[in-house]
Amino acid sequence: MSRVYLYALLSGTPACETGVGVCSERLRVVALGDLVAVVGDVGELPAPTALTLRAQDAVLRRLCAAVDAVLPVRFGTLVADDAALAESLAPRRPELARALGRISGCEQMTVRVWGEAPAAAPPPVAVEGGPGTRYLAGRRRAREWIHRVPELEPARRGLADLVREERVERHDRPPLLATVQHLVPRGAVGRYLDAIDGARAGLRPWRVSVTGPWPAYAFVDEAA
Amino acid sequence: MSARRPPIEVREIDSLRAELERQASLAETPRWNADPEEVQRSVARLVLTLVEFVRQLLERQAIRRLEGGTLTTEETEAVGVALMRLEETVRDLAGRFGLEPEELNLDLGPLGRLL
Repeated sequence: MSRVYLYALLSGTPACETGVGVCSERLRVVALGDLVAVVGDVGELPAPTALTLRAQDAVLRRLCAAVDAVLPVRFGTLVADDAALAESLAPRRPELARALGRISGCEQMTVRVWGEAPAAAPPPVAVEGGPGTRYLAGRRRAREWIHRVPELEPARRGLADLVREERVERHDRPPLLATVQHLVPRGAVGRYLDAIDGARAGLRPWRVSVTGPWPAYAFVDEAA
Repeated sequence: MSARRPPIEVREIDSLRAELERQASLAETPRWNADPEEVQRSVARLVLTLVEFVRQLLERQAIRRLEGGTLTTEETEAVGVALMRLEETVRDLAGRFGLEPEELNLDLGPLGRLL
């Protein structure tokens, strides 16, 4: 018995042929009100191998070339049938529509920051009060810090007009120090890369590597 | 992936691979293990994950109220001490069961990870 494999949610029906999916199945489009789902009918859940992950990425890239907003869905998302798909998405349609609006016309660039050690955290500000007050102040600082990449500051000015949204993940095992995901307007990737290249000297002693453009994988976690 | 790629050092690739392997191991579906010791550890992991989840929620709320200026000095101190002791307790109990802090998490399937 086949089940429905969900690849992506779109802002509109793709003008192009949707092609085939990870199991070489023919993909089809399911209209769900103002959302469009791209699905395939598969016999069993494909294993997450390099081959199948690349196949899923190829599907998403094909869709990105045809539609303004493509919300990638987690690899291996299966539902029983189209009715179950509609039912599972119905309560979340407003937030999914908002997520599609956020990524519309954009693609993802990934910056990895490398170095022997991270930039030093700012010295803690002296906090008056007892251990509980100091603990809470420290936790507040730590929460702010995990969303910051001071190593990338020299590139900020050049990127300011190109980055619509940013996601940061810090790592604690050098030389990989941080992964930064940027949502960049389509067509601006060349300028984005020029801005990074122009800032490389100022970024030392840290190095950055850039990959992309990608479908907006890092910008769908709350929604899809 | 048409972006320009400056050369990446081998140790940088090793570092990236280690990070990917760490994340993949966290995403692995836990399997049932009939070893009694392992049962205790699994239950402890689940319970401590839920406690840690609640602790982080309380911490966020406390920080939000601190920033909003709706906590008095005494309340800030009391909440801070309570959260500090709760964190120490979770770490202590996790350590007794050989659990690393990053193991205190749950994969919620399509909803992502709990923490």
